[in-house]
Amino acid sequence: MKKILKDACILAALMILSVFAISIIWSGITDETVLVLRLFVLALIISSANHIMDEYISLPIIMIYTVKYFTITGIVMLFGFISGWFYPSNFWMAFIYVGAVLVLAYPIDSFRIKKDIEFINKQIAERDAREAASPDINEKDARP
Amino acid sequence: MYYIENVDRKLFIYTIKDVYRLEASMQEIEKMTADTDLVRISRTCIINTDHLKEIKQVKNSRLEAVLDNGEMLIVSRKYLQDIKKVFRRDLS
Repeated sequence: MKKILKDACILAALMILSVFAISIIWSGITDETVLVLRLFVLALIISSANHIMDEYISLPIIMIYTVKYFTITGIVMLFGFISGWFYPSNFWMAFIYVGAVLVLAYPIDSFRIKKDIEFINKQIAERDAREAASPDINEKDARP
Repeated sequence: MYYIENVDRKLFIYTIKDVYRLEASMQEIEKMTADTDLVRISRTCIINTDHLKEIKQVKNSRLEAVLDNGEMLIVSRKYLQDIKKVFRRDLS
């Protein structure tokens, strides 16, 4: 199910890009195409920032999400101001938009990590059981 | 071999008895060890999953890999999928 959803999102993104690319060719750049292109650029920047944070920051999950929340909100605000999405009076809306996404992402991420750990530990336990069942071949001693 | 660690841009191999200095980069080691039981678990560490005892989540936050010699190494959440891949490959 997860893979189908992921593939559906990628396909939707490709469809949007294709439709708007053809639209640009036929009718030139419109407000809608500018908005879509800006959203893709914003998504690229946020994904890059997320990748860098995952690579270089090693913190507890709550702390990582807090850091991500403020970093991504900062990026959205800056990008929003440059693109003219926000007025000085409503820039704080970025906190709500980003917060809503992260509130959804946090439990999904936590659940996924829990399942991944369970899977890995189960495989280790099964491997150890197999090794214990065949004591003549002490695989661990033969390992590099 | 238990694990390879990058300390101040110098690589070290930790074995049962000794520690060796390795003249290579993490990327080179990662390429060389693709499709083996060695897997990257953080920006600075590659472990031998043959010696992995368990993955622990400490108080719903930090992840640690416990080796069969009792050593604990920090695991980045980003690399959990890669560890899973090693065990999935062993299954097939």
